[in-house]
Amino acid sequence: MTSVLPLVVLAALATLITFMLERGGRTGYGWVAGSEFVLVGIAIGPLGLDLLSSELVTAVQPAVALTVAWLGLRLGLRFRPTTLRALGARLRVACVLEPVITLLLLRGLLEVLVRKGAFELSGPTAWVIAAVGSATTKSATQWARDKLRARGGVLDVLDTLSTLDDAVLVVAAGVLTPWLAPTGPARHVAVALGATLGLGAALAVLAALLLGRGALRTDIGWVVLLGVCALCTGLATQLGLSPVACAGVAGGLVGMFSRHADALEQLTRTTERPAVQVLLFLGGAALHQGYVALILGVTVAVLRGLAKLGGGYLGSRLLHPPARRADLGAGLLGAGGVAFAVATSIAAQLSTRQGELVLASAVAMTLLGDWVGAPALRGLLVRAENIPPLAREVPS
Amino acid sequence: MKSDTPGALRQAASLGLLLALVLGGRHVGIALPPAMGAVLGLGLMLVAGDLAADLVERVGLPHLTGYLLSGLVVGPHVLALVDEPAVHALAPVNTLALALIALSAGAELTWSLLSEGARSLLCSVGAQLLLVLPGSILALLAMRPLVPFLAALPLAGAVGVTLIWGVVAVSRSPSATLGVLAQLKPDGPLTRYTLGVVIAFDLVVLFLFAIAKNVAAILTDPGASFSFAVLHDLGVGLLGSVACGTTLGLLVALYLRVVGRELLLFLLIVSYGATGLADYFHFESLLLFIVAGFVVANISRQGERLLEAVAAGGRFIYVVFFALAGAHLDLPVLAKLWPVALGLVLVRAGLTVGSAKLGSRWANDTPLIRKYGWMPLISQAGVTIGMAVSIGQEFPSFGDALAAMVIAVVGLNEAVGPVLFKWALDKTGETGKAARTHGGLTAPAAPAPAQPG
Repeated sequence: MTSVLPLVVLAALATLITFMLERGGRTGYGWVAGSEFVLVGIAIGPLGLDLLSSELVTAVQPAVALTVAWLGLRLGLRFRPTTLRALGARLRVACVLEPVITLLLLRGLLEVLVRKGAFELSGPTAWVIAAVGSATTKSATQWARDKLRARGGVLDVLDTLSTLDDAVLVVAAGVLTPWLAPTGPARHVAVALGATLGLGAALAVLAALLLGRGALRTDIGWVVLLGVCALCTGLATQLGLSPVACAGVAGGLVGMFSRHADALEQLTRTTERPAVQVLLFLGGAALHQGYVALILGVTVAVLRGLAKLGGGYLGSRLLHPPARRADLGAGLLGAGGVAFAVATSIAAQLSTRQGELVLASAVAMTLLGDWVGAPALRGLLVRAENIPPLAREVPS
Repeated sequence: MKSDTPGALRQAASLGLLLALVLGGRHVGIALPPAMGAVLGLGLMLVAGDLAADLVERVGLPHLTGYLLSGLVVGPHVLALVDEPAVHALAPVNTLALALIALSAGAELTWSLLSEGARSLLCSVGAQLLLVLPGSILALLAMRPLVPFLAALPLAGAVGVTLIWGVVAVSRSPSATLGVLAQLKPDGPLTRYTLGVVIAFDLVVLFLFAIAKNVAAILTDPGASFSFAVLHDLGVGLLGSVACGTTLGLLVALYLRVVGRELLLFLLIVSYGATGLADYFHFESLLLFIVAGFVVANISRQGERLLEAVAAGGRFIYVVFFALAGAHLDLPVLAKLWPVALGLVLVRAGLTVGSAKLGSRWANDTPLIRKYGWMPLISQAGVTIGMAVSIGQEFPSFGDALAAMVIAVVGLNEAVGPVLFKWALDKTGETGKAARTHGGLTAPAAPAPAQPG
């Protein structure tokens, strides 16, 4: 209890701050990706007031792992065969190509920096950072819809891209986690991916059976999803696999084949943002090695922005107008969400220094995603005339 | 009772698949640290508990029996898939469950329920105290030669120990009661009688237990002397719990009225926050939450909203709570103490039957209550286990042995009690008669919209 109580108090404080930021709680938003929680974490953590002991941050790691897997499960639940089929081949390819291009571009840029001797970054760490940078948070387009009242073709494409590019990130996590595991039975990539798919599928079967065929009862839905999520977390960790990838597979299969998929997605929808907020908060509070890591983080975030612009440009070449725009990448700068969760999860596996670099990069990407990405998205949507003229005056 | 064999086979196969997955992971994978083992254990208990609940329902047993069985099987004393450190690491989850159960129990106690059944409630509690308390004390004293740790004590010390046992024997289980009610959605005289009596017992027992421990300390330690300071501390603790619970209840009601969203997150914060405060000030957290729930239900108009919010997590709470209770059951101890434990269980049951019938006669209850009113009073669970833990901590000389015996008795009562209660509700025809479609832990949350395809 002694470790849980201060965490609860801090979480309550963080929630209160968001509540104040969102001006009375009517809009459902703080900052776009919730990066104010990162700042609160930094302010309370070792880089700020040092109110949060490292023991406490360590003590809540299992809860963090569970939260990360929950986000993976949520991500999987969003996938529907009918929706995917309706997208069209070009958009489906673009959804895969854009994050892959971004990942490779960012990895290349990091390699240049490392070779120039600017930073000490191990190969695996650089891959992890590049993978984390490849994903765009869905909060950005949701924010544009809810607050800017944006509607239109470009926004729809951005929405699809930001939803589906997380799949690339989850696959990357599925490959990188076993690769980084110091021990574990599944270090070979093919074995690891096979084991991840197998475990996810087995748990999805269990979930489907427990959920039954009748109308979904919400209390049973919660038990099943939480149980499957905890099993994913524990078993994947035990086998050296990625919990988020495993949960993503389980969620994806439930989303594709369960008659309750929509109800489950709806049931858990409100949990996503608080889960991310807790991770952002703890991510900020876990930074403790000083400003060198933050400087690297900011550099990585800038490079990620460039890579996103490049990835967005190349990805848009596959699309038809109006989404075929050179500046499409400007709408994809938002970061956080599942990417931050994956960064948190993998950082715990790395050495303290390398883990800190991953976390610092994720923190900087999230902050820049809110500070630069949100105005950039707004600008793009204004140029594409996806925002009605009256709504353009709404401050971002 | 369900009867489709393919469905049962499918569930049994799923349970097998689950156990095989976890056993395989244990065999092939790395050893997990206790905290991560607790996460795996939580998942295992949730899924196995839910599957086992459906399986036992097919033979007419309540879900709680399935939860208990699953916890027992995967727990440290059978398959050891969830080991002792992991069970310990899950204590915060249990804290949350207990807090929400108590909050819900308090919110179920409305003025109308209390005033309608006041006579019944008073007579029942009075009769139980008059028969079960002294009867249990005398029974254990009579069994003294069979109980090694009791035989080793002088008569005064033995009386002290049996006094504690007497209070433990009087304790009932609000969690088991609410758990059965949540599954069966009953309504009627027996349901209302049970709710009032069981929760009232909880409050009486908290007070008696504190006094019994103090008297036992004097009787078992010749150097100790009775001090009124203990009563003062007890009074401060109880009054503090009531005051703190009232404040918490008002805060909860205010939050529900003014903010009214993110209720599960809010209840999570409230549960841990208030439990931490209660620990710090040595208040009774159970009493605190019951009072808070009572205040929300009776002083504000937010009782139904609170019950709805708690109901969303109802099944989760019961699976975790009872699966952990099952995991806590010490089978080796039960194997060693079963003759004494069985004797005590039978005596307690006999005294409970007699006192319930006597109380019903005094209160002039309906024939149904007279006939079946004792059945909900057999269960023992979380509160009694908490008492056993407290005994083990506070009496180094005999505490562990007495605690082991109490846990053995709880194990048997836990297995039989919910089954009897369910049987009574079925017999009285109250099962499934709840008018509410939602509310608290005593009724499941409304189903989410069904989706085609």
